[in-house]
Amino acid sequence: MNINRQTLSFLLVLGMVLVPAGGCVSTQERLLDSDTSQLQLRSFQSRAFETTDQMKTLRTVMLTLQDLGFVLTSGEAGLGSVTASKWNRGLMVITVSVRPRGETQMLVRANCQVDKERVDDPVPYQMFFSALAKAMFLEAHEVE
Amino acid sequence: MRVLRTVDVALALSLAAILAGCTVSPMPEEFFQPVSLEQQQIKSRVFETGNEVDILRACAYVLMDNNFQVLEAESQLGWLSAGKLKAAPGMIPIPYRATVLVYPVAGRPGVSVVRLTLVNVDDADIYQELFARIAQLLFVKASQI
Repeated sequence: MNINRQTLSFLLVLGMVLVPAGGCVSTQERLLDSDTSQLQLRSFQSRAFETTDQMKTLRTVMLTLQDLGFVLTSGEAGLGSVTASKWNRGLMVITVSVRPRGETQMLVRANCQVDKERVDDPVPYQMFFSALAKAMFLEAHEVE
Repeated sequence: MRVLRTVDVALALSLAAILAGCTVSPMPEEFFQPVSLEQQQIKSRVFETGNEVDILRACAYVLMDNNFQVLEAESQLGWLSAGKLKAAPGMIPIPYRATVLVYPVAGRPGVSVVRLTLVNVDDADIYQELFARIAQLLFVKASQI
């Protein structure tokens, strides 16, 4: 009986060490390669919209972020960039920049961090751009 | 008996570690759930003026009347951010944050929408009072979306 308890004790201590390290790995880390290329990440983070109005695009980004419950923390019209944050058991910070792309498009790039860790999962970016496209009444084009 | 205590401690520590490990970072997509339409309506008003700078100025005045300080503003984007610390006697001050976003209404020149957000404040009466004061300063009517 003592041996069983000692074995159980050993296993629990082992679990204490291993479970936090491997048991709670998020889905994004399981699904994606850890060495997601910069090019692929940039593709997740960017969409092109058929408009030449940078200010309107930037304002729509701000409105979309507010509709999603983010708090706008900084914005600069000249740079075409806004930053916002949201608390939901952790802190997400998102920075969105808007710049012309060619003659007829605006390129919107979003960069998200949760608790200071970069978000490499494409799903949250898709959710953001889907909400933005609805607000813009325009289709968002993926870019390479 | 000593072994039993070791097991109990190890079990407790394991559970604590599991809980700590699983609750630290939420999934990123959890942050992109939209605010309810009702909440958006509580925090928005339509003003019968197209002068965004005047609206922002009025919002800043009303927030300053309530002891907020303007932290950042960008009139070109129709946006300002304000904050304050409020503490009851002997209590730790609580930080409050307010953001204002003013934007035009498509197809309705001379009309603007004001979205006022007080972080973690959903009380409709508070927003109603603030919007009423902003409307008074602007001498215009504020109506719900």
